[in-house]
Amino acid sequence: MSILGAGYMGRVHAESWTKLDCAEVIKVYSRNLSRAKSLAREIAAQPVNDIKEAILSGEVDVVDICLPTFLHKEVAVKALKAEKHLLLEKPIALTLNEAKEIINAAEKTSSKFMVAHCLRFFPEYAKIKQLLDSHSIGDVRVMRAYRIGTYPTWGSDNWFSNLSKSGGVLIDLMIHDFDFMRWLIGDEVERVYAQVNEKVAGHLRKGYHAMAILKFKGGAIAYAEGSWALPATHPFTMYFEVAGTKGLLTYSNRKGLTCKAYYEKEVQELSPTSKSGYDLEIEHFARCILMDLEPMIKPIDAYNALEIAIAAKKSAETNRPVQQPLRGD
Amino acid sequence: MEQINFAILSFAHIHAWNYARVLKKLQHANLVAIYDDDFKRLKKASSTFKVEKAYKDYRKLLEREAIDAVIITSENARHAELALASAEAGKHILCEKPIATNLNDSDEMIRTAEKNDVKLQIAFVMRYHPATAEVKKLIEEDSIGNIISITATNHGKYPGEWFGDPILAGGGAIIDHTVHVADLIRWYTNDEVSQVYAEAGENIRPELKVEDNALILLKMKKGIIASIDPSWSRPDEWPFWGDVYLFVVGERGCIVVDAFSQHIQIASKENRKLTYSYYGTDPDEEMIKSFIQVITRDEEPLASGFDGRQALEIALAAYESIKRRKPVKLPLNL
Repeated sequence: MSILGAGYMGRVHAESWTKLDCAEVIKVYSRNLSRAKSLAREIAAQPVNDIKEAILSGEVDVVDICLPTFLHKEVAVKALKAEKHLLLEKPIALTLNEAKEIINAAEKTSSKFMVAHCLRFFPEYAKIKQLLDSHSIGDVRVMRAYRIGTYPTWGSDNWFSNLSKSGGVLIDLMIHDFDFMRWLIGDEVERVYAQVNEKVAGHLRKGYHAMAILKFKGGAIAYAEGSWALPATHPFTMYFEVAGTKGLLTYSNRKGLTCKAYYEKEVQELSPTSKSGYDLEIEHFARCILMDLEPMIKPIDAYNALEIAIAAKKSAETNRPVQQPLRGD
Repeated sequence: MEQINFAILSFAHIHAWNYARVLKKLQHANLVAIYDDDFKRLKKASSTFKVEKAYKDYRKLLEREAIDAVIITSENARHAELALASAEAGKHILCEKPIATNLNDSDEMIRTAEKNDVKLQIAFVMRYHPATAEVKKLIEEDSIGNIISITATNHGKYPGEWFGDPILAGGGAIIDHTVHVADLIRWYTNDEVSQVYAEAGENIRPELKVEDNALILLKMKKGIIASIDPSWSRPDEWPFWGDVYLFVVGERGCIVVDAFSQHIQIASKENRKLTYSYYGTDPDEEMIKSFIQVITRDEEPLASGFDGRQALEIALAAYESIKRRKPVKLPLNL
């Protein structure tokens, strides 16, 4: 297989792929050869700077795209047309039209295609889903999600800061919770209202902090908040809460820390599990390829999650609740 | 310092019981008389706090008793009636939140208090809680720069009784739990809300006649965004009554508050479940002390009738937004 993109997420995926006996990462592609080299060296793969070689090489069965979102469509379609199995980092794309093009290309091949909405594989979120499915708290009424931290400085050429390339927190970050909420309650969003920060200062741009209310068709409501606006001292924080007719559950990653190490100048806070959410995600996708199974995240799921995020962005721009489904882009 | 003689008008609101306890404890306060229209409740309060002057008619109480101030803890819809009579009798007023169930009542309460030259303070107790008061200080010291956004929750359990009565309470979770944190948001930002958007979901408790959950987004005049979750989403089995959470994001930092996290976890054979036992400061006591000082030194209350009115308007705008399914501009034009 090939990993496309040698940034933060490419490295995370590479680590999980190398744990599998059934897979071998043979190529690491990056637009920046020295980045490709640095990751390739660690996992004994070949660094490549030529996207065609990374995708079309006869030795490659699987392509894992961890490139910035604005590059997804072109590369994903190329991989699917070449009949490669494709794992694509979320969000599927920046626009619904781009997403449709990718999905159309996927439908024309028999190869496996999944968008990496990793939260579904995180042990804590999988547990929430399991608790809900066992009817522990009855019918869902109110959900609440935070995904807040500092600005991601690791993007190549600082691409996250360009909202026409990343979409800001509503598209890039909060899409995790949008997807998870849809999956959790098995319901579609009816309308969305959202606000983004209006104030800007220093490195802080409009769209780095956002809050949204989702109203689901079945009558549940949800609050989601995402942030890249926090100081570097603020630990990355995820929170999820579900109030149902028979109970309430809450989760905070800040309360699930099982190992904390204090050094002279820094603190390390860990919550290790024998397999990480990324390990489980990549294992699942590998199993789908080997056993010819349908991946649990369907193309339409990735499309619908993006649709919620885009509706939220439109709402923030127009100051109106936006009805789903959206009509085109 | 002089002694202030108090009457408590109604024990319908659960907070009345703690206010009475505080009054009994404070050196400069006397709980002289009480009123309740519910005879059983009146008897219980009278024996609990050893107050012999217990009235079923508040007008007689106001006529006969030499009191300086009243605490109004009736059902929300009756605040105005009790406040107007108290103001006209020349008594200072500490009124439970929300100030009233409609803006006409709140405006008349403010006017009548002014006309009779009595203090009207609203029980926005979180202004006196050490954690939320600290936030005000940190913001004023410019420690996080200009505010960009505030997230607030005031979750709770369903309080029961008249809180489920749309007329007496004026609504459900929105009118009960929006106002505390809406007041903090106004206080922290020194700004007013310009727009409210809200959604209410299907009820958690389908048998209720009022809403028990909602989500609210606010825009402030100077461009700050904010959100409030006032839901009664804590089940009876939850180990604590609820929360006041605040997340203030500024240009140069952020402040996170979980105001009631000072608690001991305890499980026992006796109560058969895990509970959290609070050891933090009782903000009710700080608030009543401050009210006494407002009276003795003739100061302005930290949370005035106007503050009560502005917070109520935000809650009422949330109802209006749910009805109209769109953002509602303030001031409200009902």
